[in-house]
Amino acid sequence: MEKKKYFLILQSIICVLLAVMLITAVLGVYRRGMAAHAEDPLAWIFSREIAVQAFRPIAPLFFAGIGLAAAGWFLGVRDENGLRPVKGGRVENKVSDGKKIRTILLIAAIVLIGAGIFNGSARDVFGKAIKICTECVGLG
Amino acid sequence: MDNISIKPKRLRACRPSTRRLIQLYSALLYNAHLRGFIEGEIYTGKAKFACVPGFNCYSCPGAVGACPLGALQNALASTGHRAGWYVLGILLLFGTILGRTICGWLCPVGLIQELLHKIPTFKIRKSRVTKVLSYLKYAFLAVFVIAIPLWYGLAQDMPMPGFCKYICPAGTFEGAIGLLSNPGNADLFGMLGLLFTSKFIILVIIVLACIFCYRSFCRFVCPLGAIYGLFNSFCLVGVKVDTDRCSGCGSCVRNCGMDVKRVGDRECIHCAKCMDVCPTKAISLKAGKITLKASEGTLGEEEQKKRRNAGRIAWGAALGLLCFALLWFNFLDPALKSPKQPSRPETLHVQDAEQTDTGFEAGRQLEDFTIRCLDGSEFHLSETRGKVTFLNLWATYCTPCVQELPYFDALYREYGEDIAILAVHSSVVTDDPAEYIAGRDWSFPFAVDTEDDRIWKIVNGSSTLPQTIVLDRNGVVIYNQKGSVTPAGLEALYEKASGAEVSAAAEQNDAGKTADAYRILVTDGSGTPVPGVTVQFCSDTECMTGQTDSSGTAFFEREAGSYTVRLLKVPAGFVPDDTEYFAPEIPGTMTVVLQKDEDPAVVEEP
Ligand code: SF4
Ligand code: SF4
Ligand code: SF4
Repeated sequence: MEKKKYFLILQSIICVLLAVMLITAVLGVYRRGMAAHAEDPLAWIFSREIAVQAFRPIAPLFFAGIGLAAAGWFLGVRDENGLRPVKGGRVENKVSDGKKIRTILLIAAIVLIGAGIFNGSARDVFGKAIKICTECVGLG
Repeated sequence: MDNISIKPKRLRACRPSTRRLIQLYSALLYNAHLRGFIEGEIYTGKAKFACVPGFNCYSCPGAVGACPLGALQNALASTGHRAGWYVLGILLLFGTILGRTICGWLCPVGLIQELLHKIPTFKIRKSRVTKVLSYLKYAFLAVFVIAIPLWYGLAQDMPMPGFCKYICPAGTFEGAIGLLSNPGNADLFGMLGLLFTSKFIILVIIVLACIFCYRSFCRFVCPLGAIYGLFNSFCLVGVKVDTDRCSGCGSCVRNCGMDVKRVGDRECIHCAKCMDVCPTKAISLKAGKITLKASEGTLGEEEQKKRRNAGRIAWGAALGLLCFALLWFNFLDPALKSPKQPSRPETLHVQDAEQTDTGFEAGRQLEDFTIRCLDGSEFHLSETRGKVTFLNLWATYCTPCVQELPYFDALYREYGEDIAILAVHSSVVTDDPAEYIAGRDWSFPFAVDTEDDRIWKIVNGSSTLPQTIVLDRNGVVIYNQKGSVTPAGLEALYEKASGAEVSAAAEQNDAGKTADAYRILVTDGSGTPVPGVTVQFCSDTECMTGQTDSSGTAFFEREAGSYTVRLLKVPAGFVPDDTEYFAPEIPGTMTVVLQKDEDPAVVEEP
């Protein structure tokens, strides 16, 4: 049993450590990049090479974590505690058919979709989905 | 200690469940544009008019549909122009039919979280704290999805999808990292800064939370889950409890990983896992009156056989649909573009004749174009020679685009006659750009790209906005970059583009001389202009080189004097020519006729 516990402790530490290292690395790149950027407004803060360089020291731990996770999963190591039922009393499982409200909402949905096609809001969805603004997905 | 077990998995136990297969299936179907991952470009076909039910970023290179949450934020941001009926209708439709069954079965983000939770670490169980935290997602919904887009949309007429921009880990992972990981998108790194750094940190924290705590993002953050949860108690498809059988023992709720108070409430994702722990087999997954999944032993032999057959037919149809989708979105859809040419992101200032052939990359001569502006005037790129030219690709629905336009305006006001600026709106128009700029006091010209995206093609515009292209005084690209620019960046670009030969021109002007343009027009025997000819233009002391543009003309800004002209390089099909021609004394147009099988003749037009 001890072995299994150590396995879980090790994997938990690796996960937390990886997260901390990734956050530290990205903050480091940002800090150095900003210093360069202050001197030359056209200088890049991040670049592919810098990203690869920052990830290199983390890579061994990252792959060790993946290997360990795969081994643990295959051996069926898990913290049963997480799956154990919580305490609690009886529950009242209600059933509502909701047929009426469903029908009303379905009709409303179809009417709204139709109205949206006519008022141009369908085109808004399309426009935004095919021309992405960089900041909206975190490129900024 | 007793709660930790090691049991080597038998292969049968590794077999994925039907739910897992459906999750994988939907993730693949939503991202059927597999060539997008190879090309690093998103899909731009008509299928993106439709939203997918699950959480899947529309900027993922594989995505073939729109993200319902992103679409909702943009619809709210456009409230000042038109009501977002379409997105509301779609959400109502998905919610009424499926509710959070989408979360349990059809959401790629849910799938990723479940896989992350399989990493063998200590786990945090649900508790009163997690129950309280489960209300957090309503705060995210109210603030980031509703309030921020509405506020920016109505008060500032600016599209601002708050959740996408500041929080969404799916956008960071699928969109940002998905695009950045493609080698062809190396230039996207140039725009990364504080926003990427903070969103990357949020992503790491959420991933970590999901490893330790089951579906943390769904339970505490996801606004889409919060919306679908509102429909949960009456949606058509979902887990239902047979109250006649239910003994109220509460085993279902105690064994559930979500913060449910009862089966099918707003937190329930209809995963149907509780069916296995219900001692009275009271739980089943239903679509109206049709039972989709029932506990073992509750159905007769005949019924089971029927359901197996129906299941096979359903899987056959689903696989057929997937095959069609893969074919359509990767090979057949007319919207598919050819792979883009590799870009050279570095900022260069090249005057070397060998490198100034036509192109959109730094160091190349940008192809000439003419476009009608929104104010009725015409913008001829060739007429901007002698000025530093800024081209900006934008759209009314792009936040960073509209945020940076005032910087261009300030630059234009400051340098007036010395620069040319043109902002080209994407051919995909949602709000009238003329109306949009009417209320703003912007002094530079605006245009909308042609239906066939001519300008976009010339400058290598992509599906990522905004983009800025800067040309030096000879029309040579010195900067072509996606992403926003800052006022300091624009200033630096102006200085860079002004460069060495500009200072020479300034010196000449200081000395009271007038610089003017010599135009060397190269045509073939029939008078058709020949683009792509490298022309050398020399005085006694110095030489300049340039390239003929699409109108067959190369420009040289020099005062009146005696100059010689040589054609250093001619396009394939023409006879190379090493004759030295004499330019007219007065600046003007000089035509050189290139012929395929005889020496070029020269005609002078002072
Ligand atoms: S960033 Fe998030 S919310 Fe926005 S479109 Fe992408 S997945 Fe949807
Ligand atoms: S809560 Fe959100 S992320 Fe989770 S499964 Fe539902 S839609 Fe997907
Ligand atoms: S109550 Fe049952 S169906 Fe609902 S989330 Fe929990 S285990 Fe899944």
